[in-house]
Amino acid sequence: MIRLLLFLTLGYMAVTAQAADVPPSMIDQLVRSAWQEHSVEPAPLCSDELFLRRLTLDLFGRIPTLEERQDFLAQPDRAATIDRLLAGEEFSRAWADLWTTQLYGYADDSIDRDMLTQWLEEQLRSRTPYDRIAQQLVSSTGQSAFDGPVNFLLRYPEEPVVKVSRAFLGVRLDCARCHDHPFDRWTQDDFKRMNRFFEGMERQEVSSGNVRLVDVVREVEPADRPRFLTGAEPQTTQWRAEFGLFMTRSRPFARNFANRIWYHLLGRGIIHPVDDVSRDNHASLPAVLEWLADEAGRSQFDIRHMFRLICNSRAYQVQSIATHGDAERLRLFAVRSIKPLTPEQWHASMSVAMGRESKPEERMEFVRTFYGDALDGDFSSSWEYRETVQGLMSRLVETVDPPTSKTEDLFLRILGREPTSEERIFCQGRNAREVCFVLLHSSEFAFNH
Amino acid sequence: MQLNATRRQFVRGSLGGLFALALQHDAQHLFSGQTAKTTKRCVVLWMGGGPSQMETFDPKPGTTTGGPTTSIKTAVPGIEIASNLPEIAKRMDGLSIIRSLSSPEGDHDRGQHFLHTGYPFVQAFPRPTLGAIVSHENPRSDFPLFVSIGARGLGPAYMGPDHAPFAVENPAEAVELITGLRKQRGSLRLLDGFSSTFDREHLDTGLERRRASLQKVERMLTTPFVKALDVAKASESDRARYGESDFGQRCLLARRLLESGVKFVEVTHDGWDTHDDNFNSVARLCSEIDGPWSALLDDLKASGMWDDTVVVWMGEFGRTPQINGNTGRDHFPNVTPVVLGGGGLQGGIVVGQTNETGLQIAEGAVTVPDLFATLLAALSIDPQHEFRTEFGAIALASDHGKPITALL
Repeated sequence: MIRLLLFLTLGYMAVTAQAADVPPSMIDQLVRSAWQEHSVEPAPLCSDELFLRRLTLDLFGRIPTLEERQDFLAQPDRAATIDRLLAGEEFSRAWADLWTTQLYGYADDSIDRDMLTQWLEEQLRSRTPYDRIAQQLVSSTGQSAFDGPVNFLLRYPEEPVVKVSRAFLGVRLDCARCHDHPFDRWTQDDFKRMNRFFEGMERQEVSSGNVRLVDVVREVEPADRPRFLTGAEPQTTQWRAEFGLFMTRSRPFARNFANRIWYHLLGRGIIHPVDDVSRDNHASLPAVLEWLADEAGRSQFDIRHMFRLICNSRAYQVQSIATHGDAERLRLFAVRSIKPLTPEQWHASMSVAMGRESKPEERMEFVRTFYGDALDGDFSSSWEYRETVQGLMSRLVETVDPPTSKTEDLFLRILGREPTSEERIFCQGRNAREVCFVLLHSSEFAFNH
Repeated sequence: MQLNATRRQFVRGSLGGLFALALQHDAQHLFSGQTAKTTKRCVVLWMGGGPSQMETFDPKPGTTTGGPTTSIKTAVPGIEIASNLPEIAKRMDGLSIIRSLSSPEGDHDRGQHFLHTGYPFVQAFPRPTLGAIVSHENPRSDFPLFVSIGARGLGPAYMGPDHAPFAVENPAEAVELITGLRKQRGSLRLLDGFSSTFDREHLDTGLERRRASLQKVERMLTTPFVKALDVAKASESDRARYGESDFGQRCLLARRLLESGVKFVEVTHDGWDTHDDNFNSVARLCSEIDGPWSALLDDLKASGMWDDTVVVWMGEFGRTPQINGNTGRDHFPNVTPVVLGGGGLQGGIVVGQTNETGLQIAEGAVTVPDLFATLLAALSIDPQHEFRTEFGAIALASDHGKPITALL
């Protein structure tokens, strides 16, 4: 009798030990307590096939292939797949492209966007920490045709501090350019003195298509010296280098790093909008943000580490099904926000679905048509839906050659899932060309959900 | 997806336009208000490159700066313009010349921005082009109210992407697009049905906007706008009067679009940046615009649209009275030529004047904000109207300009 009881007790302990073997991550604990605090019920986890689609789009900028989908469904180890994709070549490429668009936009000036992308890709591939990347973007000298990072500041000859603050500190100084900021504590003096760090920059034409960026030492009155928003002033004549140090060591920098990666993966920043951190714009999950900012410091700004943490979290993996009335749940990440595919992602995904190669020139033409005259805009918020009606029209008119004629195959290739019974009926009797058209231009394909 | 190898890109824009189109998710709701008011129509003939006032509307024959350009009498006694524009001269009674407009912007992009928005370019504060304002101040429609012909057009800034210009770089391609889309109508309806479940089950402003855009495309296909785009269907006499040149076709298209309900059309004519061989070039350019512009004025008057349509002719700046070493004229924003007419504006007058050589403004100096205030007022838009940008700033329609009373 005692032996039976002992056996049962040990068995019970073994079972509970196994369940407790995987403790919830710190993010999950913090998010969960926020949900409890706000009495908000989280959505269930998304399906495996949807998870793979999200992850591949987020990390590789395209939908998964049929083979990748089959392999994953055979053994749906989400954590292992996250690791595998983060280690992949495509990750560095996709993210270098996305960051270039955020930092540089699409403007066609006489400086070298491609050099910037290539440089970013190298840094990502060699696992350069994010603070070092930021430091270089802000303080590099060199020639636009050879030194990728200088192309960032060369792109913004007027008041570079505006773009730099938004991109790396999440602070919008724009208004303070002309008068004391109406909504936040920055004054026009703050703006001037922060911008002064960049006033030593000089552009020199080396040849057509190649510009050199150098720093020239300037003499200024003590009252006009550069001053960082924290009040720190440079000790040397290397103003931009010191600015880089002040910036990367500041708390807003760490917070911005965490918040931006969160925004990219979840479609909504913990502080949202991401480049408008201010007195009136509060974090929806402050404890999570602070912990992530601490973690950024602890991991020495390891980019993949931050990605791994967030992709593994419950908040990343919940479903996105929402109705009116779910606004608060969306704000607290109890329901996943959806994100439109960028035109680059759409083109790459369409190519995967159709079994075609995604040629760079075709992709670029597609991007230009998609955006129309919004091409000159600011792209630091990647998930704004910016397609013009004209871009949409040009897309809708293109003829489509379906890669297969079976409805089920088309669904698997394009949407990554099987058709429901209603959808089977809907497609019955329609030719493959039409089904293909409908699936490719559907909301479901056009969004990362 | 097969991309037809011979299909040129539908929207191939001119470079330039340094805007930041900053959007927040909620901007849509701020600016999607239905307006019961309407504005007058407007057609802008944009002379890209900076047209020489010395060879068009402010010639100085017999002076040290006048060059070989001669002047001719016009339909208005006392007003003479360059002999390069004989047909326009006959219609001078409907048009007024501003000879004393001065601008500080001598750079093409900055000048273009200034003359399109009434504000100097500031990267941190994007401003909408006049067409976007007009589009915004009219009731919603199923077809674009702002069309740019011959160039991509400048952006709508805080007016929102719904008021971006519909760009027709090439009228023939526009027709191809519409015909192609008409063939897809069945598929478009299917698409709407298919996506409705997903659309219902997700909450996102981008998703809503995309759905609205798709529906707009579908509805657009049956509007008169689409028929108007098909310039090839124009009558023989129309095509004869406007001519088969690019600019001629564009002006004819502009008239057809205005007739179909479009409120603001901008027609671009490039090539006016005559640093070299100014006199021959401008003579040629003028011969290209003289006929079509006149035909447009005649048609607007004949169809009864004249009093409701403001016509503007301008470029980003004027050109130097001094002739350079290449028989050319360089940028001279100090004197920027503008010609206006229609829409209830006073015709047949000259606003201000330059001195004998054209190097200085002798009297009646006005600024670009003043011009804008005048245009807005003529179009029935209050120049003091306060718009709100998505980042909460107040943006006046006009940059404290004073309307030119002689014209209103």
